Amino acid sequence: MPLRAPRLTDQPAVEQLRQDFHALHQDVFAINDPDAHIEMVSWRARVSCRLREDSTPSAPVFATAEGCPSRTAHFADVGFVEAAVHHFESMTAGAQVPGPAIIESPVTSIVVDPGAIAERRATGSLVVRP
Amino acid sequence: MDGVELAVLRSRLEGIVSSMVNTVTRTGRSGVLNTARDCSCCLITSEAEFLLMAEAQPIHVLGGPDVMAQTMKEFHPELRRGDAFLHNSPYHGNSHAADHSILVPVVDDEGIHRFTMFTKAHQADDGASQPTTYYAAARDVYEEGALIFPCVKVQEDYVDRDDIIRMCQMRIRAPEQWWGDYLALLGGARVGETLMLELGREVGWERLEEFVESWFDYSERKMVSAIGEIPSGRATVSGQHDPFPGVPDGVPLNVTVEVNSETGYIDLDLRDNPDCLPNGLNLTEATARTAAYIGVYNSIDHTVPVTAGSARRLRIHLREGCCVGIPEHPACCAAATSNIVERIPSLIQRAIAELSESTAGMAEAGPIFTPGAGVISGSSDGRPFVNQIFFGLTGGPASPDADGWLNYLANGVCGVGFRDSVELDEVRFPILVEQQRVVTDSEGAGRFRGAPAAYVEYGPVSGELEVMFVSDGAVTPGQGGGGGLAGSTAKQFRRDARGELEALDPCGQVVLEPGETIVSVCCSGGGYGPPTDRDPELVQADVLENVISRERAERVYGVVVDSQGSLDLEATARTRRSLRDTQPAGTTAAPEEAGQ
Repeated sequence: MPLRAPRLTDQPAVEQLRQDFHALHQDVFAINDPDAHIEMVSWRARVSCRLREDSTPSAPVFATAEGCPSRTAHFADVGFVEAAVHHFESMTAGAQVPGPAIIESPVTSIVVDPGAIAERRATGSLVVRP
Repeated sequence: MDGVELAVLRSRLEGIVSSMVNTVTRTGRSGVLNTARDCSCCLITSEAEFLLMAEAQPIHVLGGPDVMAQTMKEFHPELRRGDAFLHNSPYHGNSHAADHSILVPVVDDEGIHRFTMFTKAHQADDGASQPTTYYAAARDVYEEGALIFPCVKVQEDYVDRDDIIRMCQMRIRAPEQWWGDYLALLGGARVGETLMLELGREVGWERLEEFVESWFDYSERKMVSAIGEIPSGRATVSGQHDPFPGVPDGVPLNVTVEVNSETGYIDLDLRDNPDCLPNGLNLTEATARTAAYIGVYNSIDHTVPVTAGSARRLRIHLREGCCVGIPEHPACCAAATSNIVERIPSLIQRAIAELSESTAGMAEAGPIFTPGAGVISGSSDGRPFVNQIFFGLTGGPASPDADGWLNYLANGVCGVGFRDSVELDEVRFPILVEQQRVVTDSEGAGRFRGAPAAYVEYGPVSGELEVMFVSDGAVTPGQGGGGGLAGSTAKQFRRDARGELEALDPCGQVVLEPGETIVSVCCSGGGYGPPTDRDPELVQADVLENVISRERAERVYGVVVDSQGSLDLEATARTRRSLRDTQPAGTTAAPEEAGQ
């Protein structure tokens, strides 16, 4: 839903936004509930600006207390093998991990096939070469 | 009408129905709609025939909306643009009281009724005397207590009749949630109406009528050809719904399927079943007919369009006052979409497997509903909530050329429903899902295997949590088809604060205290064809995925997989020879007891 102005400066502007939402809802879905409160869950903005050229950010590296445990994992063509388990946050830039291995991060786990090599870049990217 | 125009118009109409589905699922307020998508839309002709659907739950639409549209014409002979009807009467074509339907007649500029736009959604609550939409223990509709709307006009000139709205708000739990879902249903039908009026003006109503005729004829020709693939014959298949309140010995069920491949007709006789039962297990006319349709459409060439045209070739024989037929008021039909109705397509699938000598048909699906799909209610931060959740239900039956689907859920759903997100449900309701997983060694074995069972355990994090469910399959699981093996049985337990498990009745109304959980193990799907005919590589893949154990692979499928996960083809050939010699098809071991 497009905004009428870039800022909501006063209560009438907020009320206008509410009414615009209900009108659009009626238009798209053929119904609305004009007395209902509205919760905005996302705003989308289009921004034009110059991209930074001077430097690339680097991701921090955290030390973890644990060592390098391993886990039994199954790989097609190889069968069950012991795969080293690494913590992504504690890998230093340029660190290489040969497969079979599992690299764990707070958001996901990455499986490195036997024969593949994973390398952490300074930017925080992980590159896996099969 | 030539094939190209037929395809283009079918696609245009399907697009309209998809827009209706999009509206209902995106604007629905309850998790039943916006998460589990327990809702359906379809298009009905002015002659009250089922024309097409788009990603709908079969149990909602195949048979029923046509009767409901006919009811609308009879009760309201003068249809005008701007009308909308609320309909949930199990005695006038609806599936069960908990499915609220909206019918909007599309009236052209000349005032002629051209089509009926149909939306239906399962409600989180329907005003029943208990906080469940499946009050299956109720002796009749009075004890069930749901509000019944036999095609009641709810809008005139596009304006709500507030009397009706207020009645619902005074009686249905979480009325704000119901109001949002009502708007969603209405919006879906109105979006469909708008698009339909545009299409009618664009291509002409007469052209659309020609399309309807051609599309029905094409569907019928496809059905005749599909029936021609099945050898003529007659098969009677029997099954049994588990013991239940009001039916301590269970419900014996019979289906007779007669295929005539020369004339291209299938007769489906559902009359040899008990009279209406003193509980909510009775089917409605809509769900009895739909169950028969599902059983056939699941069993044949999937390219046959599901329309009133192809259904002309299916002659369904129902009896008034029968629990698998046409119920007589005030019989209760609260569980008409979940229990006995699940058994009927399964029996038909198995009968067609038998008649076709294992080239068509399907196995039986796992019967439902364990507490993994219970109706939960309670209060959170002082505000009451009620909703049906959809966790681990699998039940997919195997077919002649594919394994059963993990996401099948039920014959009435055929995989269209969505499984709830654990995280979203935990945000919305004060519950914690302890675990959800597939149960190893639970599948109905076969050349193609049924979907394995699912285990789910959840409980309240604060305050009491009431869980209601209507489960079947604890005694009689889904059977195999074409020589495949049966699936595993359903189980449900309460786990108390000390961790002790107590088995629960299949028709459950359980109040959990914090620290307690409910455990649900659903039925798995039946297998198709002898397990010793299964491709060894598929068995190996199941072992590696932990769907089955190495021990079961060897004992039931005769496939030897070593401790490294590699296939031993020589040992497999030996084991299979000996299994086939000692165990004729269909007599090998039943699945393991699904774990706790």
